[in-house]
Amino acid sequence: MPRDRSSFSATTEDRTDQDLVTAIRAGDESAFSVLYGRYFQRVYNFSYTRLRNRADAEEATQDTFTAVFRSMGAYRGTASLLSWIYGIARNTVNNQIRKSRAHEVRLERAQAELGTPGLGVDDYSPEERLSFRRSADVIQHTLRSVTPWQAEVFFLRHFENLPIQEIADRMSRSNDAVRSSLYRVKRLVVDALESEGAGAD
Amino acid sequence: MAEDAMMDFSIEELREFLQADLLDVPVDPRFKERLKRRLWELVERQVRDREPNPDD
Repeated sequence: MPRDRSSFSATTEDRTDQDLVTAIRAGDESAFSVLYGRYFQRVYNFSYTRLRNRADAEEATQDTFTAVFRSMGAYRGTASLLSWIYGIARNTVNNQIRKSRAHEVRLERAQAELGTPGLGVDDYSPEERLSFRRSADVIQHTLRSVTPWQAEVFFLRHFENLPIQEIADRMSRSNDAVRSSLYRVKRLVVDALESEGAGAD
Repeated sequence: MAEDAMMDFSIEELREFLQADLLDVPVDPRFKERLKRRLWELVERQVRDREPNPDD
């Protein structure tokens, strides 16, 4: 006698992690749904706790689960699935924090360079030095508002003076994508500086 | 990713992960559903790629 759907669902929900993994490898969508449901909120909560904002938590959650399901074929069951998923989540979050810190260091360096007019700083009046400082703040604020990739392209072009082709190679993007990004960010910076200038008058 | 590398963390860190269960962080349901669909597509592709070619 065939099982009714409700008992099948109850059975699927009660399955162990290992059973679910085996079933998912065989293409069982209901097992996939159960496993995803079982761990999604846990991974998301953990990511949010460490990263403290929704966008980063979503990115970390996506990266974690992508890695989990991509490498599920290699999971042998020596570690519990919980600790395996946690290990991936922890590494994903730590990588994201490292990238953010590198991004922050780059922004601070950009600000320091922008705030320093260069040789002959004593030739500038206090008003001019204040203006440089304000501009640096505006540029830094603008760079924080774009994606890390876009900020990095801007930095590589305008602070490290790299040619477009080299930037494209480093970032694994096309030259057109790099140019388009630079144009967009420059536009934002110019608009922000113009607004700042208008506000300061 | 080697399972051994995944075990390279302390009990405290694992406890941190489990304590996150006590939180009630709101999630955008559209994000959750979109991610689920993408992940299932990934799993399906992997299953298809592992299946033996009937023409072989």
